[in-house]
Amino acid sequence: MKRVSYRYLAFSSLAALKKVFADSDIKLLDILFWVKMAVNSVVAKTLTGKPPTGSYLATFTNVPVIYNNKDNGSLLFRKKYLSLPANIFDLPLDNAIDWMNFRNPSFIPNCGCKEHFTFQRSTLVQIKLMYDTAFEKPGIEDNFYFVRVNDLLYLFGIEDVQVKAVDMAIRTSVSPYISSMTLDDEVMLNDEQVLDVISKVVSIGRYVMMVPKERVEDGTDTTATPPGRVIQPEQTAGIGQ
Amino acid sequence: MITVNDFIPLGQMLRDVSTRTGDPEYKSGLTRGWYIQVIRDALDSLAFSGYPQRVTLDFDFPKVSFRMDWPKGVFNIQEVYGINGDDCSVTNAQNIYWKREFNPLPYGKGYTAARQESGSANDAASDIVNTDPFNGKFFSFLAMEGETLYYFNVQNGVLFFSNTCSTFDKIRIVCSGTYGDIDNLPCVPRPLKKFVMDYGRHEFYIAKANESPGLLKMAEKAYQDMYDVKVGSWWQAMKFMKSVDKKKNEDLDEYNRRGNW
Repeated sequence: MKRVSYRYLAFSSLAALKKVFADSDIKLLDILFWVKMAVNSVVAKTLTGKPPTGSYLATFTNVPVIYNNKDNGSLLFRKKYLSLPANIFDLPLDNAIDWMNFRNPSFIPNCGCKEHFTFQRSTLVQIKLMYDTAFEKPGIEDNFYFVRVNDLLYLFGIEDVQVKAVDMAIRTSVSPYISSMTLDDEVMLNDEQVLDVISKVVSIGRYVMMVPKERVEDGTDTTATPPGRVIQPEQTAGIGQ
Repeated sequence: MITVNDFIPLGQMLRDVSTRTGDPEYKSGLTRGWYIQVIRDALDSLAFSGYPQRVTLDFDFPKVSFRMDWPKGVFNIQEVYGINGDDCSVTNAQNIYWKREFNPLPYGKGYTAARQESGSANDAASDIVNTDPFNGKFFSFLAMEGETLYYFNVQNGVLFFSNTCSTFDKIRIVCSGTYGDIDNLPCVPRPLKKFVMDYGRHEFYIAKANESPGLLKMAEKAYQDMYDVKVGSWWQAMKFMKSVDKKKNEDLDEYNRRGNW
C-alpha cells in the first residue's frame, strides 16, 4: 500500500501558499512542522469515532520489559513495566494501545496450554480492587492487565512469569519534534484525509502571513474594521476571497 | 431437577454475552473477569430460585469435633444421612433429623441449646432435662422405645451433629447446588443460555449507565427480555428446569394412576 509522503504534503501546501502570496517566504521546515501537527489533528479526529479504525495501527515486537525491584512500599513494587516505543494518541480508555500480548514462557507444542496471553487495560484504582475479586484477580486464568502511567505501561499478573518482552499494536502519532526523517517518508494517512491536512496547513500559513498586514500602520482608515473582530485561523480561508 | 450433559464452554458464552453488549474486545472499561462474574451470578440466581442442580456430597464424619463447615457451592439441604461403609458400598444408612437450636459443643458434649437431646431414647443421663415435646423420654413421634435418633442443626454455616452420629463413617448430604463453587469458572447448560445472555446485557447496561444515562433504556429492554410474562427468558428457563425431567414425571404420574398402593 502506497501512502502519501511528507514531500507531497509539504510542497503541495507550499505551492498553494505561493499562489496566494507570491512573495511569501515560508520555510520548508515550518511547513513540515505544520504538516505533522495537521496530520495528528486529522487522525485524532478520525480515531475518536467508534469503533476506532485499525488503519493507524503500528506493530512493535519484542518491546523489552523492565523489572521494578525498588521497594518504596507502593503497589508498583515488584511489578514489570515497559516504556512506550512511540508516541501514541490520547484516546478514551487508552484505546491507542490496541493490543499487547506476551508469549507463554512455559509453552511447548501440543501441551494443551495457551501460547499467547493478552493484556487487558485497567487503571491503578481498579487493579487494587481486582486483587480482592474472584474472577478478576491478576495472575489467574487469563487475567493480565496493563496500566498506563504517562509513558510507562505497568504490567500486572505476570509477577511470577518470566516475561522479557511483549508484542504490541498501538496507534502512533507523529511527533512534531523529531527531525530524523526524510521528505520521502510515508505519512500514516489515508487518501481521503490528504485534503484535510493540506487545508489545515494552508490555513495556518495564511494566518501567519495575514497577521502582520493587519498590524502594520500604513495610514489606511482602520475605523472601518468592525470592533472586536478577532481572526481565527479557520476563518482566514474565507478572507480576501 | 435439570439433567443435561450439554454445557456451553465459558469462552463461547463470553463471546456471546460480550457481543450482545457491543464489547467483544473488553475495552469498555469492564474486564473479562467481570463478564465471568456476571455469568456466574446469572447461574446462581437461577439456582437459588429454581433449584435445578441436585448435588449429593459425602463427607467423612467429623468424629472429633462433631461439626463441619457448610460445603461450598450448595444451599438448601434436602436430605441428610449418616452412612457406614464407603461411597461405593453403603452398608448402613440412617436419616439424620434436623433439630431446632441443636447446638453441641465439640466432641458432641455439653449441649448449649434450650432443647437438649442426645438422640437416644434410653439415654437417661441426657434426658434429665429433656423438654422436647416431640421426642420426650417416654413418648416420641419419631422413635420407638429403644431406638436411637440422630440429629443435626445448622448455625452460621456450621453443621452440628449429635453424639449418636459417632457410629457413622460418613455423612451424605443431598442439596441444591449452584453449578459449582462460587470461585469456579461457570459452565452454562445450553437451555439456560438465553437467560444468561439477557442477564449479562442487563448488568452491563446498568454498570455503564453511570457514564451514559441513556443506557438505562437499554437496561430496561434487557429487563423486559428477561422477565416478560409471556416470552421472558427467565420464565422460559424456569419452565425448562421444572419440566425437563420427563421420565421422572411420567413414571410418577403412572405410579399415581395405578391406585393399588
